[in-house]
Amino acid sequence: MSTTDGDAVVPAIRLEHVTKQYPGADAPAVDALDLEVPSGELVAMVGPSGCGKTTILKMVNRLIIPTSGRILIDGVDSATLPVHELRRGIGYVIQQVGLFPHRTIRDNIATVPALLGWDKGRTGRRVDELCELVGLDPTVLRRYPSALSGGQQQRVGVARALAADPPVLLMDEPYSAVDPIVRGRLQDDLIELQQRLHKTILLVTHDIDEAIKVADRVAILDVGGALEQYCPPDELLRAPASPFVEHFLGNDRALKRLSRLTVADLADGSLAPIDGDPSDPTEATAPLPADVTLRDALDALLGSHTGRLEVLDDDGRVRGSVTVDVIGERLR
Amino acid sequence: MIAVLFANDADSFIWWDWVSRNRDEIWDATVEHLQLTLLTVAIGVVLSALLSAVALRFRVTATPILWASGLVYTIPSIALFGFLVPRLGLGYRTALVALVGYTLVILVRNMVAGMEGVPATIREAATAMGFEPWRRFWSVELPLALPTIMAGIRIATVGTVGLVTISALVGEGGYGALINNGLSRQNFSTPIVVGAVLSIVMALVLDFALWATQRALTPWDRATRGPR
Repeated sequence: MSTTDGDAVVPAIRLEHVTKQYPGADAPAVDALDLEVPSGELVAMVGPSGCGKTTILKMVNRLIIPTSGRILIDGVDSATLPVHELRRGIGYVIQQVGLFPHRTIRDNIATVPALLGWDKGRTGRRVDELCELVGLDPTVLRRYPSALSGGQQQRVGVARALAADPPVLLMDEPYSAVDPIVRGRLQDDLIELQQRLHKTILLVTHDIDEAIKVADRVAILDVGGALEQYCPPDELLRAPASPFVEHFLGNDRALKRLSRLTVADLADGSLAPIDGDPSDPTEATAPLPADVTLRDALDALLGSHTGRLEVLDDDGRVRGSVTVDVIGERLR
Repeated sequence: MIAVLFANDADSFIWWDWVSRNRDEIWDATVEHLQLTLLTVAIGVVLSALLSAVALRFRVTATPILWASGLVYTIPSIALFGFLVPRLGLGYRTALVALVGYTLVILVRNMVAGMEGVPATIREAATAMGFEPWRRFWSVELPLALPTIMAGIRIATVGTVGLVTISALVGEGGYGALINNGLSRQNFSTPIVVGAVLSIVMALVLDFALWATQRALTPWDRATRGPR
Protein backbone atom coordinates (compact mmCIF):
# COMPACT_ATOMS: atom_id res chain seq x y z
CA MET A 1 0.00 0.00 0.00
CA SER A 2 3.01 2.27 0.23
CA THR A 3 3.74 4.81 -2.40
CA THR A 4 7.21 4.31 -3.76
CA ASP A 5 9.20 7.17 -5.13
CA GLY A 6 12.30 5.63 -6.58
CA ASP A 7 13.77 3.65 -3.73
CA ALA A 8 12.44 5.82 -0.91
CA VAL A 9 9.06 4.98 0.56
CA VAL A 10 7.04 8.12 1.11
CA PRO A 11 5.27 8.03 4.49
CA ALA A 12 1.55 8.79 4.33
CA ILE A 13 1.91 11.44 7.03
CA ARG A 14 5.17 13.15 7.87
CA LEU A 15 5.59 15.85 10.50
CA GLU A 16 8.74 17.94 10.09
CA HIS A 17 9.78 20.02 13.08
CA VAL A 18 6.19 20.87 13.86
CA THR A 19 5.63 23.36 16.68
CA LYS A 20 2.38 24.70 18.05
CA GLN A 21 2.53 27.62 20.41
CA TYR A 22 -0.90 28.71 21.65
CA PRO A 23 -1.21 32.43 22.29
CA GLY A 24 -0.70 33.22 25.95
CA ALA A 25 0.72 29.79 26.85
CA ASP A 26 4.13 29.69 28.53
CA ALA A 27 5.41 26.63 26.72
CA PRO A 28 4.57 25.26 23.28
CA ALA A 29 1.91 22.53 23.23
CA VAL A 30 4.02 20.70 20.65
CA ASP A 31 7.71 21.48 20.30
CA ALA A 32 9.63 20.72 17.09
CA LEU A 33 8.10 17.29 16.62
CA ASP A 34 9.27 14.94 13.89
CA LEU A 35 7.04 11.95 13.23
CA GLU A 36 6.41 9.65 10.30
CA VAL A 37 3.33 7.52 9.88
CA PRO A 38 4.07 4.80 7.32
CA SER A 39 1.46 4.18 4.68
CA GLY A 40 -1.08 1.51 5.61
CA GLU A 41 -0.17 1.43 9.30
CA LEU A 42 -2.22 2.16 12.37
CA VAL A 43 -0.30 4.47 14.68
CA ALA A 44 -1.59 5.25 18.16
CA MET A 45 -0.49 8.38 20.02
CA VAL A 46 -0.69 7.96 23.78
CA GLY A 47 0.20 10.26 26.61
CA PRO A 48 -1.07 12.15 29.63
CA SER A 49 -3.32 15.18 29.15
CA GLY A 50 -1.28 18.15 28.02
CA CYS A 51 1.02 16.03 25.87
CA GLY A 52 -0.39 17.65 22.76
CA LYS A 53 -1.69 14.48 21.15
CA THR A 54 -5.01 15.97 20.07
CA THR A 55 -3.25 19.12 18.88
CA ILE A 56 -0.98 16.97 16.71
CA LEU A 57 -3.96 15.15 15.26
CA LYS A 58 -5.85 18.34 14.48
CA MET A 59 -2.82 19.86 12.79
CA VAL A 60 -2.89 17.04 10.25
CA ASN A 61 -6.26 18.15 8.85
CA ARG A 62 -5.53 21.80 9.63
CA LEU A 63 -8.26 22.26 12.24
CA ILE A 64 -5.26 23.73 14.07
CA ILE A 65 -2.58 25.56 12.12
CA PRO A 66 1.01 24.81 13.19
CA THR A 67 3.06 27.76 14.38
CA SER A 68 6.02 26.42 12.43
CA GLY A 69 7.15 23.30 10.65
CA ARG A 70 5.61 21.33 7.80
CA ILE A 71 3.16 18.47 7.55
CA LEU A 72 3.39 16.34 4.43
CA ILE A 73 0.52 14.14 3.31
CA ASP A 74 1.77 11.59 0.78
CA GLY A 75 4.80 13.79 0.26
CA VAL A 76 2.81 16.98 -0.38
CA ASP A 77 2.98 19.92 2.01
CA SER A 78 -0.59 20.09 3.37
CA ALA A 79 -0.40 23.90 3.61
CA THR A 80 -0.25 24.07 -0.18
CA LEU A 81 -3.53 22.19 -0.66
CA PRO A 82 -6.95 23.91 -0.57
CA VAL A 83 -8.07 23.23 2.99
CA HIS A 84 -11.54 21.86 2.11
CA GLU A 85 -10.14 19.45 -0.43
CA LEU A 86 -7.47 18.33 2.03
CA ARG A 87 -10.12 17.61 4.67
CA ARG A 88 -12.43 15.75 2.30
CA GLY A 89 -9.54 13.38 1.66
CA ILE A 90 -8.95 12.66 5.36
CA GLY A 91 -11.50 10.69 7.39
CA TYR A 92 -12.15 12.04 10.87
CA VAL A 93 -13.68 10.20 13.83
CA ILE A 94 -14.13 11.88 17.20
CA GLN A 95 -15.02 10.80 20.70
CA GLN A 96 -18.40 12.52 20.84
CA VAL A 97 -19.02 11.06 17.36
CA GLY A 98 -20.41 14.42 16.22
CA LEU A 99 -23.12 12.97 13.99
CA PHE A 100 -25.44 15.61 12.56
CA PRO A 101 -28.62 15.23 14.66
CA HIS A 102 -30.81 16.75 11.95
CA ARG A 103 -29.78 14.30 9.28
CA THR A 104 -30.75 10.67 8.90
CA ILE A 105 -28.08 8.02 9.30
CA ARG A 106 -27.99 7.61 5.53
CA ASP A 107 -27.39 11.33 5.00
CA ASN A 108 -24.81 11.41 7.77
CA ILE A 109 -22.81 8.64 6.12
CA ALA A 110 -23.17 10.34 2.74
CA THR A 111 -21.80 13.68 4.00
CA VAL A 112 -18.49 13.72 2.17
CA PRO A 113 -19.84 12.12 -1.03
CA ALA A 114 -22.44 14.91 -1.06
CA LEU A 115 -19.70 17.53 -0.66
CA LEU A 116 -17.79 15.87 -3.49
CA GLY A 117 -20.90 15.92 -5.66
CA TRP A 118 -21.32 12.17 -6.19
CA ASP A 119 -24.51 11.15 -7.96
CA LYS A 120 -27.33 9.36 -6.13
CA GLY A 121 -26.63 5.89 -7.46
CA ARG A 122 -22.96 5.91 -6.56
CA THR A 123 -23.66 7.34 -3.10
CA GLY A 124 -26.40 4.79 -2.44
CA ARG A 125 -24.22 1.85 -3.41
CA ARG A 126 -21.39 3.17 -1.26
CA VAL A 127 -23.65 3.63 1.78
CA ASP A 128 -24.88 0.03 1.49
CA GLU A 129 -21.30 -1.17 1.16
CA LEU A 130 -20.25 0.78 4.27
CA CYS A 131 -23.11 -0.65 6.32
CA GLU A 132 -21.83 -4.10 5.61
CA LEU A 133 -18.23 -3.04 6.27
CA VAL A 134 -18.81 -1.55 9.72
CA GLY A 135 -21.55 -3.97 10.76
CA LEU A 136 -24.52 -1.64 10.68
CA ASP A 137 -28.07 -2.91 10.22
CA PRO A 138 -29.39 -1.14 7.08
CA THR A 139 -32.78 -0.59 8.75
CA VAL A 140 -31.24 2.20 10.85
CA LEU A 141 -30.44 4.25 7.75
CA ARG A 142 -33.78 6.06 7.81
CA ARG A 143 -33.49 6.95 11.49
CA TYR A 144 -31.98 9.97 13.17
CA PRO A 145 -28.82 9.62 15.32
CA SER A 146 -30.69 10.14 18.60
CA ALA A 147 -32.48 6.82 18.06
CA LEU A 148 -29.19 4.85 18.05
CA SER A 149 -27.10 3.43 20.88
CA GLY A 150 -23.62 4.80 21.58
CA GLY A 151 -21.94 1.83 19.92
CA GLN A 152 -24.12 2.11 16.81
CA GLN A 153 -23.44 5.83 16.61
CA GLN A 154 -19.71 5.17 16.74
CA ARG A 155 -20.07 2.70 13.86
CA VAL A 156 -21.93 5.34 11.87
CA GLY A 157 -19.11 7.76 12.70
CA VAL A 158 -16.57 5.34 11.24
CA ALA A 159 -18.74 4.71 8.17
CA ARG A 160 -19.08 8.47 7.64
CA ALA A 161 -15.30 8.91 7.90
CA LEU A 162 -14.70 6.12 5.38
CA ALA A 163 -17.43 7.19 2.96
CA ALA A 164 -15.27 8.67 0.22
CA ASP A 165 -12.59 6.01 0.76
CA PRO A 166 -9.90 8.39 2.07
CA PRO A 167 -6.41 6.91 2.33
CA VAL A 168 -5.87 8.57 5.72
CA LEU A 169 -8.06 8.33 8.81
CA LEU A 170 -7.74 10.40 11.98
CA MET A 171 -9.37 9.10 15.15
CA ASP A 172 -9.57 11.23 18.29
CA GLU A 173 -10.31 9.07 21.36
CA PRO A 174 -12.91 7.23 19.30
CA TYR A 175 -14.01 4.75 21.95
CA SER A 176 -13.71 6.58 25.25
CA ALA A 177 -17.41 7.49 25.40
CA VAL A 178 -18.73 3.91 25.21
CA ASP A 179 -18.84 1.27 27.91
CA PRO A 180 -15.94 -1.22 28.21
CA ILE A 181 -17.74 -4.17 26.60
CA VAL A 182 -18.80 -2.17 23.55
CA ARG A 183 -15.34 -0.59 23.45
CA GLY A 184 -13.68 -3.99 23.27
CA ARG A 185 -15.95 -5.03 20.42
CA LEU A 186 -15.36 -1.80 18.50
CA GLN A 187 -11.60 -2.25 18.93
CA ASP A 188 -11.85 -5.77 17.52
CA ASP A 189 -13.86 -4.38 14.61
CA LEU A 190 -11.22 -1.74 13.97
CA ILE A 191 -8.47 -4.37 13.84
CA GLU A 192 -10.51 -6.45 11.42
CA LEU A 193 -11.40 -3.41 9.32
CA GLN A 194 -7.76 -2.42 9.12
CA GLN A 195 -6.77 -5.91 7.98
CA ARG A 196 -9.16 -5.50 5.06
CA LEU A 197 -8.62 -1.85 4.19
CA HIS A 198 -4.99 -1.03 5.07
CA LYS A 199 -5.72 2.62 5.70
CA THR A 200 -3.16 4.90 7.23
CA ILE A 201 -4.69 5.57 10.62
CA LEU A 202 -3.51 8.03 13.25
CA LEU A 203 -5.36 7.38 16.50
CA VAL A 204 -5.23 9.38 19.71
CA THR A 205 -6.02 7.68 23.00
CA HIS A 206 -5.23 8.05 26.68
CA ASP A 207 -5.67 4.29 27.12
CA ILE A 208 -2.34 2.48 26.76
CA ASP A 209 -4.08 -0.90 26.59
CA GLU A 210 -6.14 0.29 23.64
CA ALA A 211 -2.98 1.51 21.89
CA ILE A 212 -1.18 -1.78 22.48
CA LYS A 213 -4.19 -3.76 21.30
CA VAL A 214 -4.98 -1.99 18.04
CA ALA A 215 -1.79 -0.27 16.85
CA ASP A 216 1.05 -1.33 14.57
CA ARG A 217 3.17 1.36 16.21
CA VAL A 218 2.73 3.34 19.39
CA ALA A 219 3.99 6.89 19.95
CA ILE A 220 4.35 7.72 23.63
CA LEU A 221 4.26 11.45 24.24
CA ASP A 222 5.10 13.48 27.31
CA VAL A 223 3.92 16.99 28.18
CA GLY A 224 4.90 19.50 25.50
CA GLY A 225 4.61 16.99 22.68
CA ALA A 226 7.92 15.33 23.52
CA LEU A 227 8.14 12.00 21.70
CA GLU A 228 9.43 9.56 24.33
CA GLN A 229 9.31 6.40 22.28
CA TYR A 230 7.93 5.36 18.91
CA CYS A 231 7.95 1.70 18.02
CA PRO A 232 5.79 -1.43 17.63
CA PRO A 233 3.91 -2.41 20.82
CA ASP A 234 5.94 -5.51 21.52
CA GLU A 235 9.21 -3.60 21.44
CA LEU A 236 7.69 -0.94 23.65
CA LEU A 237 6.72 -3.51 26.25
CA ARG A 238 10.02 -5.37 26.03
CA ALA A 239 12.29 -2.36 26.15
CA PRO A 240 10.77 0.87 27.44
CA ALA A 241 13.12 3.71 26.49
CA SER A 242 12.78 5.77 29.66
CA PRO A 243 11.42 5.66 33.21
CA PHE A 244 8.53 7.79 31.98
CA VAL A 245 7.53 5.17 29.42
CA GLU A 246 8.04 2.38 31.94
CA HIS A 247 5.79 4.13 34.44
CA PHE A 248 3.22 4.86 31.75
CA LEU A 249 3.08 1.23 30.68
CA GLY A 250 2.32 0.04 34.21
CA ASN A 251 3.46 -2.99 36.19
CA ASP A 252 1.99 -5.74 34.06
CA ARG A 253 4.17 -5.33 30.97
CA ALA A 254 4.93 -9.03 30.70
CA LEU A 255 1.24 -9.92 30.84
CA LYS A 256 0.44 -7.22 28.29
CA ARG A 257 3.00 -8.75 25.97
CA LEU A 258 1.51 -12.19 26.47
CA SER A 259 -1.93 -10.92 25.57
CA ARG A 260 -0.57 -9.78 22.19
CA LEU A 261 0.91 -13.19 21.38
CA THR A 262 -0.87 -16.44 20.59
CA VAL A 263 0.08 -20.06 20.86
CA ALA A 264 0.86 -19.94 17.13
CA ASP A 265 3.70 -17.48 17.90
CA LEU A 266 5.60 -20.19 19.79
CA ALA A 267 8.36 -21.67 17.60
CA ASP A 268 8.17 -25.44 17.08
CA GLY A 269 11.67 -25.85 18.55
CA SER A 270 10.70 -24.15 21.77
CA LEU A 271 7.87 -26.52 22.55
CA ALA A 272 8.25 -29.39 24.98
CA PRO A 273 7.77 -32.87 23.52
CA ILE A 274 4.44 -34.60 23.75
CA ASP A 275 4.62 -37.16 26.49
CA GLY A 276 2.21 -39.20 28.48
CA ASP A 277 -0.68 -41.16 27.13
CA PRO A 278 -3.32 -38.89 25.55
CA SER A 279 -5.99 -41.41 26.47
CA ASP A 280 -4.99 -41.29 30.15
CA PRO A 281 -7.95 -39.55 31.87
CA THR A 282 -5.63 -37.65 34.25
CA GLU A 283 -3.97 -36.04 31.23
CA ALA A 284 -7.23 -35.24 29.46
CA THR A 285 -7.05 -31.47 29.77
CA ALA A 286 -8.33 -29.83 26.57
CA PRO A 287 -5.49 -28.87 24.17
CA LEU A 288 -4.99 -25.20 23.29
CA PRO A 289 -6.10 -24.07 19.80
CA ALA A 290 -3.68 -21.94 17.77
CA ASP A 291 -5.48 -18.65 18.36
CA VAL A 292 -5.38 -18.75 22.18
CA THR A 293 -3.35 -15.85 23.59
CA LEU A 294 -0.28 -16.74 25.62
CA ARG A 295 -1.85 -14.86 28.51
CA ASP A 296 -4.81 -17.25 28.48
CA ALA A 297 -2.45 -20.18 27.93
CA LEU A 298 -0.51 -19.16 31.05
CA ASP A 299 -3.74 -18.89 32.98
CA ALA A 300 -4.72 -22.39 31.86
CA LEU A 301 -1.29 -23.76 32.79
CA LEU A 302 -1.44 -22.27 36.27
CA GLY A 303 -4.81 -23.90 36.72
CA SER A 304 -3.81 -27.32 35.45
CA HIS A 305 -2.28 -29.93 37.74
CA THR A 306 0.16 -31.32 35.17
CA GLY A 307 1.77 -27.94 34.35
CA ARG A 308 1.82 -29.01 30.72
CA LEU A 309 -0.75 -28.55 27.93
CA GLU A 310 -0.84 -29.70 24.33
CA VAL A 311 -0.97 -27.01 21.65
CA LEU A 312 -2.62 -27.36 18.27
CA ASP A 313 -1.73 -25.86 14.89
CA ASP A 314 -4.19 -24.10 12.58
CA ASP A 315 -5.44 -27.44 11.29
CA GLY A 316 -6.04 -28.81 14.77
CA ARG A 317 -3.01 -31.14 14.83
CA VAL A 318 -0.98 -31.44 18.03
CA ARG A 319 2.32 -29.56 17.66
CA GLY A 320 3.80 -30.25 21.09
CA SER A 321 3.33 -29.18 24.69
CA VAL A 322 3.63 -25.85 26.38
CA THR A 323 4.83 -25.16 29.92
CA VAL A 324 5.30 -22.04 32.01
CA ASP A 325 8.99 -22.14 31.12
CA VAL A 326 8.24 -22.23 27.39
CA ILE A 327 6.12 -19.11 27.73
CA GLY A 328 8.73 -17.39 29.87
CA GLU A 329 11.37 -18.21 27.25
CA ARG A 330 9.25 -16.55 24.53
CA LEU A 331 9.40 -13.21 26.36
CA ARG A 332 13.15 -13.20 26.73
CA MET B 1 -92.03 46.97 22.55
CA ILE B 2 -90.14 44.35 24.53
CA ALA B 3 -88.42 43.26 21.34
CA VAL B 4 -87.32 46.83 20.60
CA LEU B 5 -85.99 47.27 24.09
CA PHE B 6 -84.05 44.05 23.86
CA ALA B 7 -82.55 44.87 20.51
CA ASN B 8 -81.41 48.26 21.74
CA ASP B 9 -80.16 47.10 25.07
CA ALA B 10 -77.15 49.33 25.47
CA ASP B 11 -75.59 47.04 28.06
CA SER B 12 -75.59 44.00 25.80
CA PHE B 13 -72.13 42.45 25.63
CA ILE B 14 -72.18 42.06 21.88
CA TRP B 15 -74.56 43.39 19.35
CA TRP B 16 -74.70 41.02 16.38
CA ASP B 17 -76.68 43.49 14.38
CA TRP B 18 -73.73 45.89 14.46
CA VAL B 19 -71.37 43.13 13.45
CA SER B 20 -73.35 42.22 10.35
CA ARG B 21 -73.78 45.87 9.36
CA ASN B 22 -70.05 46.50 9.69
CA ARG B 23 -68.79 43.32 8.07
CA ASP B 24 -66.74 45.24 5.50
CA GLU B 25 -65.09 47.38 8.12
CA ILE B 26 -64.18 44.30 10.18
CA TRP B 27 -62.76 42.55 7.12
CA ASP B 28 -60.64 45.60 6.24
CA ALA B 29 -59.38 45.75 9.81
CA THR B 30 -58.46 42.06 9.63
CA VAL B 31 -56.47 42.51 6.42
CA GLU B 32 -54.73 45.59 7.77
CA HIS B 33 -53.93 43.89 11.07
CA LEU B 34 -52.53 40.84 9.36
CA GLN B 35 -50.47 42.84 6.88
CA LEU B 36 -48.96 45.03 9.55
CA THR B 37 -48.14 42.00 11.69
CA LEU B 38 -46.53 39.98 8.92
CA LEU B 39 -44.57 42.93 7.56
CA THR B 40 -43.36 43.79 11.07
CA VAL B 41 -42.18 40.25 11.75
CA ALA B 42 -40.58 39.91 8.30
CA ILE B 43 -38.61 43.13 8.67
CA GLY B 44 -37.82 42.23 12.29
CA VAL B 45 -36.42 38.85 11.24
CA VAL B 46 -34.21 40.33 8.52
CA LEU B 47 -32.95 43.12 10.76
CA SER B 48 -32.36 40.75 13.68
CA ALA B 49 -30.52 38.31 11.44
CA LEU B 50 -28.15 41.10 10.43
CA LEU B 51 -27.68 42.23 14.03
CA SER B 52 -27.15 38.64 15.17
CA ALA B 53 -24.61 38.04 12.43
CA VAL B 54 -22.66 41.10 13.59
CA ALA B 55 -22.95 40.04 17.24
CA LEU B 56 -21.73 36.49 16.48
CA ARG B 57 -18.96 37.59 14.16
CA PHE B 58 -17.60 40.41 16.27
CA ARG B 59 -17.99 39.18 19.83
CA VAL B 60 -17.40 42.59 21.42
CA THR B 61 -20.57 43.91 19.78
CA ALA B 62 -22.79 41.17 21.21
CA THR B 63 -23.39 42.79 24.59
CA PRO B 64 -24.11 46.30 23.23
CA ILE B 65 -26.48 44.90 20.58
CA LEU B 66 -28.44 42.83 23.09
CA TRP B 67 -28.44 45.70 25.54
CA ALA B 68 -29.68 48.23 22.98
CA SER B 69 -32.43 45.97 21.67
CA GLY B 70 -33.50 45.35 25.26
CA LEU B 71 -33.58 49.09 25.90
CA VAL B 72 -35.91 49.69 22.95
CA TYR B 73 -38.23 47.09 24.44
CA THR B 74 -38.48 49.00 27.72
CA ILE B 75 -39.74 52.21 26.10
CA PRO B 76 -43.48 52.56 26.72
CA SER B 77 -45.26 52.34 23.38
CA ILE B 78 -47.17 55.57 23.86
CA ALA B 79 -43.92 57.42 24.51
CA LEU B 80 -42.30 55.81 21.47
CA PHE B 81 -45.16 56.90 19.22
CA GLY B 82 -44.93 60.35 20.73
CA PHE B 83 -41.26 60.42 19.85
CA LEU B 84 -41.72 59.09 16.31
CA VAL B 85 -44.78 61.08 15.15
CA PRO B 86 -42.98 64.45 14.86
CA ARG B 87 -40.30 62.75 12.78
CA LEU B 88 -42.23 60.28 10.64
CA GLY B 89 -45.77 61.66 10.85
CA LEU B 90 -48.96 59.82 11.62
CA GLY B 91 -49.46 56.55 9.85
CA TYR B 92 -47.93 53.38 8.55
CA ARG B 93 -44.25 54.25 8.77
CA THR B 94 -44.41 55.28 12.41
CA ALA B 95 -46.41 52.19 13.32
CA LEU B 96 -44.00 49.93 11.47
CA VAL B 97 -40.83 51.40 12.98
CA ALA B 98 -42.19 51.10 16.51
CA LEU B 99 -43.50 47.57 16.03
CA VAL B 100 -40.28 46.32 14.44
CA GLY B 101 -38.32 47.87 17.29
CA TYR B 102 -40.21 45.81 19.82
CA THR B 103 -39.51 42.51 18.01
CA LEU B 104 -35.73 42.95 17.99
CA VAL B 105 -34.94 41.97 21.54
CA ILE B 106 -36.68 38.60 21.33
CA LEU B 107 -35.52 37.77 17.84
CA VAL B 108 -31.87 38.74 18.32
CA ARG B 109 -31.65 36.95 21.66
CA ASN B 110 -33.07 33.73 20.23
CA MET B 111 -31.01 33.87 17.07
CA VAL B 112 -27.78 34.36 19.02
CA ALA B 113 -28.76 31.69 21.56
CA GLY B 114 -29.73 29.30 18.77
CA MET B 115 -26.41 29.66 16.99
CA GLU B 116 -24.45 29.42 20.21
CA GLY B 117 -26.42 26.31 21.09
CA VAL B 118 -24.99 24.38 18.14
CA PRO B 119 -22.62 21.90 19.84
CA ALA B 120 -18.97 22.71 19.22
CA THR B 121 -18.23 19.07 18.41
CA ILE B 122 -20.79 19.05 15.61
CA ARG B 123 -19.45 22.30 14.19
CA GLU B 124 -15.94 20.86 14.34
CA ALA B 125 -17.02 17.59 12.74
CA ALA B 126 -18.54 19.57 9.87
CA THR B 127 -15.40 21.62 9.44
CA ALA B 128 -13.19 18.54 9.55
CA MET B 129 -15.36 16.86 6.93
CA GLY B 130 -14.61 19.68 4.50
CA PHE B 131 -17.62 22.00 4.68
CA GLU B 132 -16.85 25.56 3.59
CA PRO B 133 -18.03 28.05 6.27
CA TRP B 134 -21.04 29.24 4.24
CA ARG B 135 -22.18 25.73 3.41
CA ARG B 136 -21.69 24.70 7.01
CA PHE B 137 -23.93 27.56 8.09
CA TRP B 138 -26.78 26.64 5.75
CA SER B 139 -26.69 22.88 6.06
CA VAL B 140 -25.58 22.33 9.65
CA GLU B 141 -25.70 25.37 11.92
CA LEU B 142 -28.92 27.00 10.77
CA PRO B 143 -31.01 23.80 10.84
CA LEU B 144 -29.77 23.04 14.35
CA ALA B 145 -30.46 26.60 15.55
CA LEU B 146 -33.90 26.60 13.94
CA PRO B 147 -36.00 25.37 16.89
CA THR B 148 -34.68 28.19 19.09
CA ILE B 149 -35.01 30.78 16.33
CA MET B 150 -38.57 29.65 15.54
CA ALA B 151 -39.47 29.88 19.24
CA GLY B 152 -38.38 33.54 19.11
CA ILE B 153 -40.36 34.20 15.94
CA ARG B 154 -43.49 32.73 17.56
CA ILE B 155 -43.21 34.94 20.63
CA ALA B 156 -42.45 38.01 18.51
CA THR B 157 -45.44 37.30 16.25
CA VAL B 158 -47.92 36.84 19.07
CA GLY B 159 -46.61 39.96 20.77
CA THR B 160 -46.85 41.96 17.57
CA VAL B 161 -50.48 40.95 16.96
CA GLY B 162 -51.30 42.46 20.35
CA LEU B 163 -49.19 45.56 19.86
CA VAL B 164 -50.65 46.39 16.44
CA THR B 165 -53.86 47.46 18.20
CA ILE B 166 -51.87 50.20 20.00
CA SER B 167 -50.84 51.64 16.65
CA ALA B 168 -54.42 52.89 16.34
CA LEU B 169 -52.98 55.85 18.23
CA VAL B 170 -51.13 56.92 15.10
CA GLY B 171 -54.03 56.20 12.77
CA GLU B 172 -53.30 52.56 11.93
CA GLY B 173 -54.10 49.62 14.08
CA GLY B 174 -56.32 47.08 12.31
CA TYR B 175 -58.49 45.77 15.12
CA GLY B 176 -57.13 48.62 17.21
CA ALA B 177 -59.23 51.00 15.13
CA LEU B 178 -62.33 48.99 16.06
CA ILE B 179 -61.40 49.04 19.72
CA ASN B 180 -60.75 52.77 19.54
CA ASN B 181 -64.14 53.22 17.95
CA GLY B 182 -65.76 51.38 20.85
CA LEU B 183 -63.84 53.35 23.44
CA SER B 184 -65.02 56.65 21.94
CA ARG B 185 -68.67 55.71 22.41
CA GLN B 186 -70.47 55.40 25.66
CA ASN B 187 -72.18 52.20 26.69
CA PHE B 188 -71.42 50.41 23.46
CA SER B 189 -68.87 47.65 23.93
CA THR B 190 -69.45 45.63 20.75
CA PRO B 191 -66.52 47.01 18.66
CA ILE B 192 -64.17 46.51 21.62
CA VAL B 193 -65.25 42.91 22.06
CA VAL B 194 -65.04 42.17 18.34
CA GLY B 195 -61.60 43.78 18.01
CA ALA B 196 -60.18 42.06 21.08
CA VAL B 197 -61.56 38.62 20.31
CA LEU B 198 -60.44 38.68 16.69
CA SER B 199 -56.98 39.90 17.74
CA ILE B 200 -56.67 36.94 20.13
CA VAL B 201 -57.89 34.54 17.45
CA MET B 202 -55.36 35.91 14.96
CA ALA B 203 -52.53 35.50 17.49
CA LEU B 204 -53.56 31.88 18.14
CA VAL B 205 -53.90 31.06 14.44
CA LEU B 206 -50.50 32.54 13.56
CA ASP B 207 -48.87 30.80 16.51
CA PHE B 208 -50.32 27.48 15.41
CA ALA B 209 -49.22 28.07 11.80
CA LEU B 210 -45.66 28.78 12.93
CA TRP B 211 -45.66 25.76 15.21
CA ALA B 212 -46.79 23.56 12.32
CA THR B 213 -44.13 25.08 10.06
CA GLN B 214 -41.43 24.39 12.61
CA ARG B 215 -42.59 20.83 13.03
CA ALA B 216 -42.42 20.28 9.30
CA LEU B 217 -38.96 21.86 9.08
CA THR B 218 -37.43 19.98 12.01
CA PRO B 219 -38.52 16.35 11.82
CA TRP B 220 -35.45 15.23 13.81
CA ASP B 221 -36.53 17.35 16.77
CA ARG B 222 -39.67 15.23 17.05
CA ALA B 223 -37.62 12.05 16.77
CA THR B 224 -35.49 13.26 19.66
CA ARG B 225 -38.31 14.17 22.00
CA GLY B 226 -41.08 11.83 21.01
CA PRO B 227 -41.29 8.19 22.02
CA ARG B 228 -39.36 5.85 19.76
